[in-house]
Amino acid sequence: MGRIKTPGDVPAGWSVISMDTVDSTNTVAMELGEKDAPHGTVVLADRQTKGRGRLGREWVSPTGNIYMSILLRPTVTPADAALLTITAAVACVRALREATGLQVEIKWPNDLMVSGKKLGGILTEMKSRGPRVFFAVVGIGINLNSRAADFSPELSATATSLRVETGEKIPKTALISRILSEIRFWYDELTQGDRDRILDEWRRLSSTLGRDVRITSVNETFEGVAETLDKEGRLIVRLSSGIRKVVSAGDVAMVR
Amino acid sequence: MEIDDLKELISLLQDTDITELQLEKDGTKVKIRRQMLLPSLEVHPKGTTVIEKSTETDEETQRLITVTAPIVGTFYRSPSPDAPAFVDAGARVKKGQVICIIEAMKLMNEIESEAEGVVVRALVENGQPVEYGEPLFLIEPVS
Repeated sequence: MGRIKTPGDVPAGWSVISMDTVDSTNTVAMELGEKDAPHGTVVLADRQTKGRGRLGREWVSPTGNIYMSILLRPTVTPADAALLTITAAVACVRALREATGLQVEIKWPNDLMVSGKKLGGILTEMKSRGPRVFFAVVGIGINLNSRAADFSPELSATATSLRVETGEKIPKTALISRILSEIRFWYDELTQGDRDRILDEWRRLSSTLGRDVRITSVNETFEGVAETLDKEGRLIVRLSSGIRKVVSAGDVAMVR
Repeated sequence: MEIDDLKELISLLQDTDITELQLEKDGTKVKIRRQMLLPSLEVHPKGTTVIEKSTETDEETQRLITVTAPIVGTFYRSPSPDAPAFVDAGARVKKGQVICIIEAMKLMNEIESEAEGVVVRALVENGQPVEYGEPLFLIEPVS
């Protein structure tokens, strides 16, 4: 573990720490964040033993895929930094479309989808005190070279990989460079205050808007039409009664 | 103009409604801007809202720090649904200790306490949506 790649692979001023196996790249990057590691430190792993999803859920993480966490030290307020997952989703979809030609889309707010199946996801963890963001870690998991047989029967109904979709093995290093350069670009947009451009691009790349959806949150489940994304990145869902709900957290399922 | 002159100027302003003052003397320009103290709530520059004087002028409430939501999102009192709460009423917290999470669009914002103290009250239920600036906890600081 621990080879530092030469600049050129990564955006100027950023650095990559590459490891074989970690518990979770987000956990490692959070620890680095506490220890004053610089902005733009990228933690990459071939395999995770405790890959994490939202609310402590597991992210299945066998060898051959992308597990990557980016330590950022945003100079903006927590309210602006709260768009980091949305921003990273835009960056990833653009990079994946360019690299593979696949019609990759975003399911609100952070799932990377192709042909209605999940290709990857993003989870950001941020630490703030008052108006100050100490650091944020953007964690990205993308199923790259998993084969159909690698997925469990339950998972293969809902998950896929770039290899399954394209029939080809995808070169990992080049794709990672492309993703990082997109993230750098869109992160700069965010910190320079161009939230609208990010939200517009998200709307363009999303498969959620205009669809019938079922929202499951901690406290309730409801169905409606996903109308739009508000300025905070929240999903506006119109119920059949005409009432509009504002969703900031929860699982989204497409219904017909 | 000396520092003592400045101090005097500032104290002169204190009992007035003047929020901005510009002065030129002996080639030195001075500009003083100040935030008016509202009788009930003062929004602290650090993002906390300090309750200055409540109508009951309760000695206790005067000292309390209100931790507010820095982002819009969904409020969680524990790191995962089956885990215990980060803090309950009565708990002693250190400055920098994580006291809750707000989730906004798959971003989990761990909110740290801005002061060392004791949690007097949690103001929001687990899983509830919160708006920017909404009060989350009352903390009694200890020094």
